[in-house]
Amino acid sequence: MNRIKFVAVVALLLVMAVPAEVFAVSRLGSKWFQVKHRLRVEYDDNIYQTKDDEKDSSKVINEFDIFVQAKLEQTFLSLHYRPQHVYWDDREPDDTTWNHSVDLIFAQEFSPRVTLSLKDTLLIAEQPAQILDGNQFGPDNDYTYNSVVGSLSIGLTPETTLDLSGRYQLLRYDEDAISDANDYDIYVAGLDLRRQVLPETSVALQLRGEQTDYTETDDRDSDSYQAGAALEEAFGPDLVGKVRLGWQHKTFDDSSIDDIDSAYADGSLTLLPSPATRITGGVGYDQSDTDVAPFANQDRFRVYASLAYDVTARITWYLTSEYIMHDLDAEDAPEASRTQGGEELEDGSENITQVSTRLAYKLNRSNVIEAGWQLIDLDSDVREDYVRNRLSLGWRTEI
Amino acid sequence: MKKMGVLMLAMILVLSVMAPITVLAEPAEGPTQLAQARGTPGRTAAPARAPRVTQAEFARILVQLLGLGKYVPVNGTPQDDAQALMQEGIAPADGWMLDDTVTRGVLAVVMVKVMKAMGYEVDIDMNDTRAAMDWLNENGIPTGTITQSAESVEPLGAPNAPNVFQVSTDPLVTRELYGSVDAPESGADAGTASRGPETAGYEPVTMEEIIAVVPPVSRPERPTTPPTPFRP
Repeated sequence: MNRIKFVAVVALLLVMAVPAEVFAVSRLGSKWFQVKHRLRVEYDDNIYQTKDDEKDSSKVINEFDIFVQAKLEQTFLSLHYRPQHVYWDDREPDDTTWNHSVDLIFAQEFSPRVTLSLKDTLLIAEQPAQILDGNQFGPDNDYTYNSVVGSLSIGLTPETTLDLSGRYQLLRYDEDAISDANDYDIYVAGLDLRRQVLPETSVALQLRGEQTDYTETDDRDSDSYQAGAALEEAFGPDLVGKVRLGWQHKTFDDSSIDDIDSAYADGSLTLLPSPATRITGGVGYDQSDTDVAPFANQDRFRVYASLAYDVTARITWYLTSEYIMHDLDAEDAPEASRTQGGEELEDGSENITQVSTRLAYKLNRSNVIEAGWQLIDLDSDVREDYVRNRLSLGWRTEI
Repeated sequence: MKKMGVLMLAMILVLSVMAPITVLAEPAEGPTQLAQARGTPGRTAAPARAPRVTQAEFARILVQLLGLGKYVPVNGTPQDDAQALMQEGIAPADGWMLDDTVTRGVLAVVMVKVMKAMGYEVDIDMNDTRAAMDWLNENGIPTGTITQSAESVEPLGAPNAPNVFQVSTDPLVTRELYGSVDAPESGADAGTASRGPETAGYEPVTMEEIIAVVPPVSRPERPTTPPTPFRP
């Protein structure tokens, strides 16, 4: 909790460090303050994400987006605050949920060659207990998540840049039964040495160090190091892509878990086949920590694609999908946890499929009507499977 | 490692607070040179009276003004900016040539696409420079300078693609989108797909915890296996 206070105080100090006049003398962009509202009615067929006895409910989601930004000669600051209220038609005993999301972005140019960038994401969400047949299964699941990441970019030559970066993430649950296994602090330090070798090509050497600390337990803590290269390429006016690959070395605090050495790689492509069509796709593979205790590591493979198509000048259609595969090895769990109640912990895998589509109709510049469908299908050997569908109809407006 | 990370963050924060902040009393003639510091080649300090703005700098300005900064890595490159804009359908007719200077034609084409992303109804060939200039004139959007044009740029209400999924093995980037709860742009819950809370099937549960989570008001009809909270 002290860390939450620390992050909040730092964020406030940053905002206060910018003189009030900044907001009045915004140099670029006409709108320094904006409020948007989004109202959606949604049908959710599996609100507790269970395999059997699915509980469905309709809900009304009210979301405000309060936006402040200042763009000056050498400084950029933006602050998004999104409070969200959800009313559930059929969920006991708590039929309302409040979620809060804050994004703070700050950039400062000290000189033409030295730039500081800072980004903070704060999420406070309520996830009430699961109630079935009048009985409560599982404690409240409210949590606070924060990620602050900063980068100092130094232009060594016109073609070469050095980036020094750091990141701190935290996750805290309100209820001890959840927080004991899941609360964490993650620290990341990074170095990028980037060179523009051609107008359309840049390459970079990258080093990363990541430390994952579970706050209430040490047996899943790990350190991960990455050394590799990145390539960014503009293949043509309508196609850009980037690739990142290298070697990862991972060690664990628990001595019974062996170190892992593995390659990592990811890449993405963005394509504009026509002025009305945008396509993005990507793929990635690495060793990551997992939210499924007692495993301390998983093989993670992800592939995704996204399409946006302007059907007419007023109607836009969005389609996205993602497939994720996790492989979990019992050897990557602490030895003391490999047997529970006489039952051996087994290897497992997870397949997660997500699909979303949305149709947006612009009534005018300030009002958009939208309809959407989201599907998530979790097929897992290590936790409860579920399929969840959400159908929504919404209205976005600028106040 | 932990101390090093904290020290680095602390230094960055202290530097940022101490940084001199320039508030311009009068509008200057050219936009910021933020992208210059990112090492794009061929850049020198621009003369004060006749600034030459590269497409990399222009892209950075647009990413910031359109509110897309969240979807670009904090140590992002000009290509990252260009990619984020392309995912909103914003690019010059010949694509982003990041070292090239922004011309009136490039400005017009890009601004029309920006207006479309902002919600304007645009029914012209957006890659046609003349048609783009005419459309901007008809709609009262100035294109004399980038500064003037930027006055018309507003943050996007619901950005399109870059926020949907951000697959990256980079720990500085990954899990950036923990997943705004019930966000329709997130496809499904990004948090579920990346990192979400899940208690273990194998975690020991004490009797006190069982009593706490299953009040004895009525007999549970489900087995008293360890609780599985749903994910955000």
